[in-house]
Amino acid sequence: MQRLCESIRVAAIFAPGARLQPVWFEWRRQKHAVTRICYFWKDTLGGAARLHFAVCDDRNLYELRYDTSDQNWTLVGVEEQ
Amino acid sequence: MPENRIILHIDMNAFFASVEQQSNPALQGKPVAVIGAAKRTIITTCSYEARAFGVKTGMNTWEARQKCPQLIFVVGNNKKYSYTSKQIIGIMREYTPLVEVFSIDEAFLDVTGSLSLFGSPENIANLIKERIRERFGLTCSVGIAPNKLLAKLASEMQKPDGLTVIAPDQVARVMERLPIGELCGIGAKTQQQLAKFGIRTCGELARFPVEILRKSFGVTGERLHYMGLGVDDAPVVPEEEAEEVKSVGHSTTLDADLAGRSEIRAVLLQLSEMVGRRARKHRVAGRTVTLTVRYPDFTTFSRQASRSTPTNNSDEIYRDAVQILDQLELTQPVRLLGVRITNLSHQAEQLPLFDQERKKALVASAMDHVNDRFGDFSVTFGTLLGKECGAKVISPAWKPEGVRNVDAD
Repeated sequence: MQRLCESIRVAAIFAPGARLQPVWFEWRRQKHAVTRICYFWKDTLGGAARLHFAVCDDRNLYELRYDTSDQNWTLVGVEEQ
Repeated sequence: MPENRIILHIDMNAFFASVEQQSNPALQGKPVAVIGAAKRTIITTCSYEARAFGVKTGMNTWEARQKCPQLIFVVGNNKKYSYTSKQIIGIMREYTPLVEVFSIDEAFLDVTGSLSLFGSPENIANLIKERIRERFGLTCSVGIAPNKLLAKLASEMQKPDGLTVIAPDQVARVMERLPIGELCGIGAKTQQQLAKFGIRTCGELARFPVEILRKSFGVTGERLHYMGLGVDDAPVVPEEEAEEVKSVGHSTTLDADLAGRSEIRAVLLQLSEMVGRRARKHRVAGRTVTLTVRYPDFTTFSRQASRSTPTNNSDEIYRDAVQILDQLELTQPVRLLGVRITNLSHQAEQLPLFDQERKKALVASAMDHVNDRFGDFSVTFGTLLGKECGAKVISPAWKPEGVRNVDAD
């Protein structure tokens, strides 16, 4: 996976009782619809919880990260499938 | 302890590789090897597809590529594995509070008291397997037996995705022809020693005079005899009842062998800070500091120094480690370094009496507060600035909580 660290715009669903679910994101002026959330995990950096999502659009695999302390989304990596 | 215990041993199948295959659909069904981020690295684990080509844990990448040219190497993500492991342990704890985490991908469960709630042990095993598969897409092998020794043996019998039961009335038959090396706790060296007595199977071990075993192996001799019989009284010990830790340590295999003392000292400072920080977090202090060195030919040795007072101050640990280093004549460059404190005392938070000591403690506490909030090594020693710091490897002694829960990158 090519490692990146780019702040991106993400549309996500915060459903009650369910985990956060990214729906689409913008990267390099293109909108990518999330077709599948392949894996989810959490970690912490200091006191901040960070949620990681391995997601697919119709072409590639991406790793998105949501930082709960500043509520920013970061594109952490991309792998062409 | 109840006479008829029912113990489950749950072993996640090719855990790290399977998590990577779930995280990336393009890896599913393909030979995958998980490796560390270090420049020189070995296979941490590999998928069953890779194992079919002869790729094994511990192989170096070159050797693995020879066995399987199409092997896909994936750099491991320890935080992803430890998160997944904690969630899986959480699922297990819904079926019994008696869960002993054996390693990041293995656990023992005593379900003797859970049968009235969940039915048969097979039912509990199937429920857990199903929930792990549904939530993470991962498979595991489960062994069910009257004790931990046999439960572990049973889980090894069917991989991947197995469920094997060794009932009490089957134990003698199973053990009779079982090679002794199949038992957890009998390594290559013990096997060689037992082979000198003509012992190759558990049946032979059980029949061998226990007095001779005692003479040759000391207290372990009697345990070996019972292992041959398939008898093991060891209880399933959940984390909260486990013995207090006896040491806090970190070691690291260096990216390249180091010969320069100043470079070695910089690594010791990083390790000392990791040890000190973890010790302060769990309020333990050590009276003995140990330095471990490994040469490129894998010769490994440790030297220790005792202190008059216990410490968890990174600077003091570092100074002791350097003092030990200064007394060593290094005959080769260094491949691995380790720092450990032992002879621990568990202490309440208390400021030292003397001004100098108090200042040191206050500085360490201030650094810890910043690092707790912003992440390890956000504030650190000037010598370490610009260096990559932190644990890279999940220790075999990793536990989901407590002092052994090391957050490895």
